[in-house]
Amino acid sequence: MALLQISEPGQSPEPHQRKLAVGIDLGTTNSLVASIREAKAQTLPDIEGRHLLPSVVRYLGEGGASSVEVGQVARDAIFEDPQNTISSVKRLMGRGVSDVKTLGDCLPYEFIQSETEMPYIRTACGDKSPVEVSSEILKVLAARARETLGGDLSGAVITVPAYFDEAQRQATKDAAKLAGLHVYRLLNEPTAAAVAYGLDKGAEGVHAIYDLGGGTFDISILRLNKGVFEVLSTGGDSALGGDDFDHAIASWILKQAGQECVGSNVARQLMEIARGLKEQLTTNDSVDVDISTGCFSWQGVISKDTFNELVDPLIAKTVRACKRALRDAGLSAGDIDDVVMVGGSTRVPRVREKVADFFGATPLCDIDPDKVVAVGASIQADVLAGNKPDDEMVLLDVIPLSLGIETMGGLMEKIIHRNTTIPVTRAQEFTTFKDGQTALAVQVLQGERELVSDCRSLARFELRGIPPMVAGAARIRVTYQVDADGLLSVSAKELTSDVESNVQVKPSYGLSDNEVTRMLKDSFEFAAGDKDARALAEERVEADRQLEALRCALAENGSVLLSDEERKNLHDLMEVLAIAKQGEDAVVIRKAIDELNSTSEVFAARRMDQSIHKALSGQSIDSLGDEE
Amino acid sequence: MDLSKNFFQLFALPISFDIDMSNLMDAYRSLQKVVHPDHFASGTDKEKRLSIEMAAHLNEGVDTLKKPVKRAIYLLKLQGIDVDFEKNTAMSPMFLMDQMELREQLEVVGKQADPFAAIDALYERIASMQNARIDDFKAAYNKITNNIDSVGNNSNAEDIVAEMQFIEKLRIDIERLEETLD
Repeated sequence: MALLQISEPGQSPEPHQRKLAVGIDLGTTNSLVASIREAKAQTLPDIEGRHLLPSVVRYLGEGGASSVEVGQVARDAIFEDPQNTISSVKRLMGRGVSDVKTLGDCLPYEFIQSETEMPYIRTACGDKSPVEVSSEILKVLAARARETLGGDLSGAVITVPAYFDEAQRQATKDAAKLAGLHVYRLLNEPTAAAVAYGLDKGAEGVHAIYDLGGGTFDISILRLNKGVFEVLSTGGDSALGGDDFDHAIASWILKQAGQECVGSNVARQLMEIARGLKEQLTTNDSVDVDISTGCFSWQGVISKDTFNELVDPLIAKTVRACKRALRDAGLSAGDIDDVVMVGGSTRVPRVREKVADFFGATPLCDIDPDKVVAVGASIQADVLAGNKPDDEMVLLDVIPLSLGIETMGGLMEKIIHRNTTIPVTRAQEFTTFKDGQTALAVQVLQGERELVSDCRSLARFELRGIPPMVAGAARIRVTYQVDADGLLSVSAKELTSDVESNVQVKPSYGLSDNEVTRMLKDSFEFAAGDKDARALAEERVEADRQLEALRCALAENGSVLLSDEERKNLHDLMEVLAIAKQGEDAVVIRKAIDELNSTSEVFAARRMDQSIHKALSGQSIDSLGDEE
Repeated sequence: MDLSKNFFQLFALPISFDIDMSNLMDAYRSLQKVVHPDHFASGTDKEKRLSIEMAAHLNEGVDTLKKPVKRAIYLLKLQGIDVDFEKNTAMSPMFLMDQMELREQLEVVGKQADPFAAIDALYERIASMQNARIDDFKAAYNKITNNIDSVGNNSNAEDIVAEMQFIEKLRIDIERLEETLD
């Protein structure tokens, strides 16, 4: 069936075509894609009408031909082919080999150390990184969206747990890149839920978003005020979720049956059984258990009370995180207007009970907790794509974990404290401790603890060429900048001599550039073209983007803000770029883009000033109105 | 946007320790609505860079004015007084005794029957200590601005701010300890 593309009245930003933008919830257990259709944000089903895509990837390598299965068909093969069927890969994102070992009690995969710290999983199709596995899921969702929406996607908003650290965020972005997606923004899951919720209900006030998924827990405190979503604080645990509930049940069963550790296949089977029991215990007071596996069998009963006892310590951990988040926001439980429940694990009645107790409010769960994150992401994607030029929605998000630097004695000195609103730039001055010292190592850290060894090391770089001085005379300014995606770049400069060093932080657990290049080559999307063709294609897209953005800006207020001569200059350079774009040389296009960019700087600054002026004068008119 | 304006001017507020929080937040939000990177996802690279720079500046400004300790330091800075907390050793013996006692308590919190309740109690205690300092600071700052105390003789306000920073440092250490308990 051919799908007609219909623009919604009042939304199509004529004369420009409405852009196709999607929101993707890349979940531990299930993933979803959503978009705005018929003026409504909704998740997109596959041809069989299923909205949820199980986040399971199976690698098949029979007869030399390798292929990949994603979703339910892969999940069905978990027992049959455990080593090549990868589930809950989100828990491995941005993790090092040592982390993975502490995570996986009984993970059935064979891990291989790579040239970086990133673990690879040995499969029938070769060694795969968690980033590659995730990109397979994203590819399927992107293809589903292209087919449903009838066109190429201009960009996507991908959600991540608020508590994801730098490495985990970077890994998610890398996965999107591999899947050929342009990422408008990484959006924190609870924020996405709040967007979906807030716009649905038009709710002003302070909200707590309690998000307990399969593998992660997030708590965020948000204030919604006149279209501004302000995240006041966020906290959680990137390795705590419904899977741990299952694990607690499975361990209890093993204990009852008098069994020690079992093989990986049986362990997985037990986890599936435990998941089933957990689900039945949401409505039943007790459930009969009858297990027979290859190595043992057991019959018994699990009661709701037993289950509650098993999960109470886990829930208590989430409540403590809620308490901390409230404190960071400078609020108490009574200040919260309502609590929104997100994530499948909030279906557990005990969770709702304990959360209701703590906040003293009945938790809201009227939006499908499985879909709400993807829906929120699609609303944000639509705004970022520029489809709603009049919409004033702004998201002010925070960084979840403190960023700092190693100082003498192996101590972590915080430069940007957690729950600081992004984007943020902060600088701190350091000095040399030895006479004649000419170099300084900068160790970039993330975490809350005092000792460097308890924090995560994100990057290390050196500032060299400091002129020899007596100890303490050099003034080295280290600047941390976090952009709106929560990604960090660091620079260091010696102020008396102007020696400078910059680093775009590539987390130690991320992919090396070599690995990214290899994966891009491997991935069949780009197999046909070589690297140059890809660079050319990328620069052309970039040229179009810049030209389009500038055209819109000029049409809006070019005649007011620019002199005839300035306008002519810009038009000339745009013409140069348009011609370069027709050519085959990526370098020429890049040069033309750069030139256009530097010439348009004045225009950008004036536009910004004008908007600010408008915003401020608008405000004073408002406040005058209030006084009357 | 003029980045050289001081933060009070930036948000159209009078220079004072007492600020109207809702005026501050209204001004902050309406400025962010205009400059935030969310509006430039499809913009030119220059616009994006400028937008990050301005949004970060606004965030820095609101963070400075919102938090009492930072606001106090900033007010003194506008008066030409740089508070160097590391070099300020002239704290009252009473204050130092209190701090030592609190630090000792902090060390044994982990061994308490309910460490989380003990931590909550500590938080409350230092919050009330901090509130007392804030009142003292306001009085001292008023003296400076009303020329009762000249800029050359401002040690009182400076000492209070140093104590405030000391307490803030303790609060961060409690936070750190709390992390290790979970």
